[in-house]
Amino acid sequence: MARQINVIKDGTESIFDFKKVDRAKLYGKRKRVVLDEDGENCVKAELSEDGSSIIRSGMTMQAYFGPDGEWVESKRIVGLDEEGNPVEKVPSTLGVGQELEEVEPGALSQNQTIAVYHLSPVEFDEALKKKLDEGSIFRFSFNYRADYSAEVGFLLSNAVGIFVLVTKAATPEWCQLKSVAVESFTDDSEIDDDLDFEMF
Amino acid sequence: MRKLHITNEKQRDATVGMLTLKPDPTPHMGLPGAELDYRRYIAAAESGLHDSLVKALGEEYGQALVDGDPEIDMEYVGRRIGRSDRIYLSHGGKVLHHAPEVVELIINPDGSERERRAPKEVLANVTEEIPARWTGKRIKKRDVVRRFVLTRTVPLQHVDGLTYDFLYGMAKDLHDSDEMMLMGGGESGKQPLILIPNGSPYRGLLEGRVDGERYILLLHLSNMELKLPAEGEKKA
Repeated sequence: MARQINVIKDGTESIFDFKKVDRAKLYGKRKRVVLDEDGENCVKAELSEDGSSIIRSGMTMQAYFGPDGEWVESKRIVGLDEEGNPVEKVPSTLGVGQELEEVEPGALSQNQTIAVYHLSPVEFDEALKKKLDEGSIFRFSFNYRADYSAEVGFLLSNAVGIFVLVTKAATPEWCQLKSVAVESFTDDSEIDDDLDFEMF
Repeated sequence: MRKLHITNEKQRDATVGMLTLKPDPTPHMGLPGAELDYRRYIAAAESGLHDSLVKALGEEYGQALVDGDPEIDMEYVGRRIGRSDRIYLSHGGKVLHHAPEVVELIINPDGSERERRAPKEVLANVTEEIPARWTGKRIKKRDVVRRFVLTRTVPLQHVDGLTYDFLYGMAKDLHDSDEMMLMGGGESGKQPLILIPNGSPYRGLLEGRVDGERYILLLHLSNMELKLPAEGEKKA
């Protein structure tokens, strides 16, 4: 049975099937390909920093290593908070009713949207449908698969349908007269990368 | 820090700072009480890849791996990979002896190829000379978030006392009206914003918040509407 998004408002549960919506499915996409002298697609690879090795796909792995260089099995790795203390794993929220909280639009706009799902109702509480039709926005905890932190889901609707936007929480800082933006000569490249939207 | 050239309602322009809005911290992976390093390393030499093993040992090489570990190059496997450069090899995996051709593909929503062309160079349309313009087109915040997916958000910050007044005024105007302002790029001030050369065009929507003398001014960037692919566009 396909997994579903279940939400609860005032004690009444609504259940939705969901399907991911992405930009390429709406508008198509543009991509650049590199062709060799025969007009065939080139193969991506890497050249090591010292120039001694060509590293092809399938030749590398990633893993955790201890201070003495010993390999640490991935099954021993856990989530840690900022103080280094282990945190509980957060189970998947799919198929499990999540409480809805009505929020203002700013709660959504300040977060970073990472996925969009279109919902098809399976069981739809009339009171919730009415609120969504009126333009209300609801926040709930969303976790596609079990890991160490849940994302923030926002449930809303428009003339086209019902959507869930999955976001990462972000908190913009207040600006005050006494704190001006400071010129930095070290992090331009980092921010440039940040603004290379092609990667998304 | 990157700068943004921007105008206000009166089309007065100023150059302000663009900050990065980072997600709130989430748990990181590790072992309690241990300093771990997450590294890439060489797991197989070229001679240990599937194609090479087939060439050397034939299709049924599984038992040979168990018997003699021919896929493991003890001199090479386990080496840490530091910085590296992206390179391209021919489709047959050979080193190229002249510059490859770069082609841009335009792909339809259904995955089919619409066009194949030489890459077009796209200039930024928000620069030191051309500001991001306050278009005067206001949209209620609630309508914005129900219509557009806000892909990225760039907080703007003053760089001196004058730009504090400039940005605070914009933030207060938008806060009081509970609206966002559509920002336009290019000479006409009506185009979607292209902030970097060869970057994608984005709708820019400015959101302001004030609290006493404090303000938050967020430039939201969107390249996606909240809708369905053409064939499935119907009210659920």
